[in-house]
Amino acid sequence: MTLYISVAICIATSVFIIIPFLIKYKSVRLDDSTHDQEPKSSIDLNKEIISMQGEKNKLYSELMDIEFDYNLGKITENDYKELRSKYMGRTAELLRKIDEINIKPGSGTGDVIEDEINKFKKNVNSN
Amino acid sequence: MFKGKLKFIVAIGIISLTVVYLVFAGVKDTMVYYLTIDELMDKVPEVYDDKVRVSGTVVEGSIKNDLDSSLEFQLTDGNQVVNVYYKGIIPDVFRDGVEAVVEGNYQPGNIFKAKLLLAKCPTKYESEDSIYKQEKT
Amino acid sequence: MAIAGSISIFLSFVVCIYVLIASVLSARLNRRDLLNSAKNGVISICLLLIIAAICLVNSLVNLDFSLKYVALNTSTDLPLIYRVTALWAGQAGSLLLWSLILSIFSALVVIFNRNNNTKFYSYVITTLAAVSCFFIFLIAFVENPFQKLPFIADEGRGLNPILQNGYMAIHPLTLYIGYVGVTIPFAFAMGALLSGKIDDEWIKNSRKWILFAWTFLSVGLLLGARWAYLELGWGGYWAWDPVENAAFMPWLAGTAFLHSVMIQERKKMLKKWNLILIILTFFFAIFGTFITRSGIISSVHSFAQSDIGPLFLGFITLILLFSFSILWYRNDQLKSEDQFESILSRESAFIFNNLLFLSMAFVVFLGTIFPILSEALTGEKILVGPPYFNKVNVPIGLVLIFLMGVGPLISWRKASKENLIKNFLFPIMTGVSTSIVLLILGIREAVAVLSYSLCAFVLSTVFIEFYRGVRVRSGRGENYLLALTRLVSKNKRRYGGYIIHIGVALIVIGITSSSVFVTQKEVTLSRNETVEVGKYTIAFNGLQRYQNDAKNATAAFLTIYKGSDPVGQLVAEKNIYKYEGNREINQETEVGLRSTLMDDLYITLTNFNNNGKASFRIIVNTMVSWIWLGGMVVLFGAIITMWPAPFKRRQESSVRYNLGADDHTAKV
Repeated sequence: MTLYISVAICIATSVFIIIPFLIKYKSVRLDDSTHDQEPKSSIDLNKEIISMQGEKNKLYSELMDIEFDYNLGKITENDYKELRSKYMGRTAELLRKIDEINIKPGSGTGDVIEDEINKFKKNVNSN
Repeated sequence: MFKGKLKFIVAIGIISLTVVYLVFAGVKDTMVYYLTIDELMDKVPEVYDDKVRVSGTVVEGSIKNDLDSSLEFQLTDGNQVVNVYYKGIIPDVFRDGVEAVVEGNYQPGNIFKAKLLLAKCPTKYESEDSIYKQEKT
Repeated sequence: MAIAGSISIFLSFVVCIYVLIASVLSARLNRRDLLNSAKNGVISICLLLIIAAICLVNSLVNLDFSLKYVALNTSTDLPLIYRVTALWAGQAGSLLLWSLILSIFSALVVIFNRNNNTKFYSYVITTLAAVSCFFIFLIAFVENPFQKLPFIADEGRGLNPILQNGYMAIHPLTLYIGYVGVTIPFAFAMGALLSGKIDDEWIKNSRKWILFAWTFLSVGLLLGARWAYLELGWGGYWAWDPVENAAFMPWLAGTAFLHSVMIQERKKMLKKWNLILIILTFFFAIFGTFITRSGIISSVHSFAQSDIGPLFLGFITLILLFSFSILWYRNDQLKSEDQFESILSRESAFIFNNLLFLSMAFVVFLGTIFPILSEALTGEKILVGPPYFNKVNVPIGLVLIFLMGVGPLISWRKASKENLIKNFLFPIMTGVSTSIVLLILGIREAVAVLSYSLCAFVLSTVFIEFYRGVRVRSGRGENYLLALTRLVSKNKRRYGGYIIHIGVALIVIGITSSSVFVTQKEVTLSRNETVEVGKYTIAFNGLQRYQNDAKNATAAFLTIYKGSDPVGQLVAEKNIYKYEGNREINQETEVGLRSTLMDDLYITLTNFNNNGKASFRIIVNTMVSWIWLGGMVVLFGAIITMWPAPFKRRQESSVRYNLGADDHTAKV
C-alpha cells in the first residue's frame, strides 16, 4: 500500500517538474533580457504598468509622509517645499508614462475624487 | 560637506574604541578558568586565589542536603575527588552520578566553596542504550 | 507510513539538487522553462516535506516505537499535545521542522512572484535551494527522523517534565520561524548580487520578511525568558547562556537591518552596508542554530550532541566565504548615493543605531565563543559569565534607548536649531524631571535613574508624535478617538513602529527594576512560623503530600500578608514525577508565584524534612510583569506595522488633485 503511494508521489513530482518544458512560450527568454528593439507585447506592457503602479504608490506614500511631517512641524518650510517639488516632479513623470501606455479609460468614481478634493481644501484652509 | 563627514568618522571612532575598552575591561574582570579536577590539582597553590569553574561527576552517595546547612557532596573525574560546599539554588537534575559544574574558590584541605552549581544529565541518554528493550526471541 | 515519510525526504533532497542546478542554468542559459521547472520543484519540495512531517507526527501520536526518534522523545504516558510537539523536541525532528518551514517560505516566495521571470529570481531560488539542500541533507543522511531501531522498544524515553509546559511547546517553533524568516531576505540579497541587479527590488521584498522574522524572534525570546522564569526556579529570566545568546544575536543584527532598510528606502544610502548587514544576520541565525544543535559550547541547556557540528561549521564557513566574495566581486556596482550631510540628522541617528546594535551582537558573540577561542589560542578554557555581558551591554543599551527617542523626532538631512528645540524640549524636560523625582524619592542607583529617565524621554517623544498627529487630524473635524484610529491606520508603519518603541521602553523598565530592586531571603521555617521579606509577611502553614497520575507531590502552603492584611495564598512544590518512560530526570520544583504590576513574590521550596520543617527561597522581584506586558505591546505594534494597507486610492486622488491645482511643471 505505502509502496503504491510512494510510487505515485514520485511520479507526480516528476511530472510537475517536467511540465514547464512541454508548454509553448511566447519567448523562452527571461524577462530582463528583452531587447529594446523588439516590439513589446501587451503582456509585457501590462507587467510594466504593474511595476510602475508599485513605483507610483511608493511615491504617493512619500508625498503623504512629507505632507504629514510638515503638518506636524517636523520639517522646515524650505525643506518641505524642496522635497515636495522633487517628489511631485517624479510623480508627474511617472503618471505621464503610465497614461501613455494605458489605453483603458480612467477608473475611480467621480464621487470619491470630489470627496477628497473637499477634504483637501478644508485642510489647506485650516492650516 | 567634508567637515560633516569628519565629525561623523570621529564619532564612530570614539564609539568603537569605547566598546573595545568595555570589552577588555569586562573580560579582565570576569574571566573564569574552566578546569578539570586534574588541572585544578595541578594548579595548586596559585589557584587558591582565583575564581574557577570545575566540572566532574557527582560521587554516588556523597550528597548531604540537610535543612539549615549548605549542600555537601563530592565531585570526581574518576581519579581524584574534591569536597564541595555549596549554598544556593540546586538544579532539579542534581543527584548521584550526574555531570556537575561548580564555580567558586578552591581552598586548602581539598575544599571547594561553590557559589554556583550547574548540572546536566549524562549524555548517554541520547543514545540507544537508554531505550528500554525486550529481548527478541 | 514511516516509509512514505522517509521516501519523501529522500525525494525532496533529489529535487532540491535539481532545483539548485536548474535555477543556475536558467540564469546562465537565459531560459524561462528551466526557471519555471525550478519553481515547480520548490513547490514540490514543500509538499514532500509536509508529507514527511505529517508522517512523523502520525508516528509520534501513535507511539510507533520502532522508530528511534519516537522512542527517544515520547512515552506511553505522554499527553497527546506533547506527542505532537515532540516533532521539534529532538535533533532530527527539529531539523525536519527547519527544512519544512524553509520550504514553505520558499514556496510562498515562488507563488508571490509567479509572474516574475528574471535572472534575479533565478538566483533567489538558487540561494533558497542551496540552504535547503544543506538541511535536507542532514535529515536524509545524518539525522533521519525515520531511522529505525534494531528492535521495537517497549517504552519510550518520554519528555523532560520541565519541558511539558505551554511556553516551551511553542518557543522553538517561533524561534525557527524567526531564523528561517531571516533566510528569505538573505536569498533576495544573494539574488541581487549574483544577478548583478542590485537595485531597490531586493530591499523592497526584504522589508516585509525581516519585519515578520523579527516579530517571531522577539516573541520567541520572550517566551523563552518567561519559561525560564517559571520553570527553572532561580527567580531570573535570562542568564546569558549560550543557547539564549544564540537567539539574541540574530535579533540584534535583525533589528539593525530593520532600521537600516528604512534609510535605503527613503534615501538610497547604505546599499553596501545593507548587504553586509543581512549576510551577518543570516550568519547569526545559522550560527545560532549551530550552537543550539551541536552542543559545542557545553551549556546546561544543550540537549543534543552529535556529528552534525562539523557539518554545520563547514556550511557556515562556506556561506561566509561565498557571500563576501560575491560582494567583493560586485563592489563597483555598489556606489551609494551618499547624501550624508550632518551628524545631527535622522540618517546619523540610524547609523549610530546600527553601529551600536552590531557592537552588542559582537560583544555577545565574543562572550559566547570565548571558551572555544581561548582554548584554541591559549590551550586553557576560559569563560566569561553574566557579569561580562551586563557590564559591557548595559552602557550600550542605555545609549540605544536614548537613540530610540531621538530617531523619530529628529529631521532628515540636517536638524536645525529650531527643529531641535521645538521637538526635544518637552521630552528632555520629562527625562530630567524624572531623574529629579527619582533622586528625591531616595533612589540612588545610577543605572536605574538613568534607565528610567531615558525611558521617560522615549515615552514622551512617542506621546508627542501621537499628540501632534491627532491634533492635526481633529483639526479637520474628527473627534479624538476617531482621529487616533485613522491616524494609526493611515500610517501603519510609522505608528506601529512607535507602538513597538513603547513596548520596548516598558520592557526596559521591567528589566531595570527586576535587576536592581530585588530582595532575596533564604529561610527555614517550622509550621506556623512567619518571615518578613520586603513589604510582605509570609506564614508557613505546613506541608502536605499528595499524589496524582503524574507525580508524587510535596506541597508547602503559605499565606501572604501585607502588613496585617492577608493578600493571598501560595503553594510551592517539590515533586517527584512518576516513572515516565525511561527518564530518570524526574524531580521538579514548582514555584509559588504571585504577580502584580508592582512586583512578583516568588517562593521556591528548596528542602524539607520529616519533622514538617521546610526551607524556602523567597524573592521579591520588582515590576517583572512589565517585561511580559511590554512584550505584548511590541507584538501589537508589530502586527499593526505588518497589516496590509487599503488606502492607496484615496492617496492617489488627493495627489492628482494637487498636481492639477499647482499648475506644476515636470522637473525630474
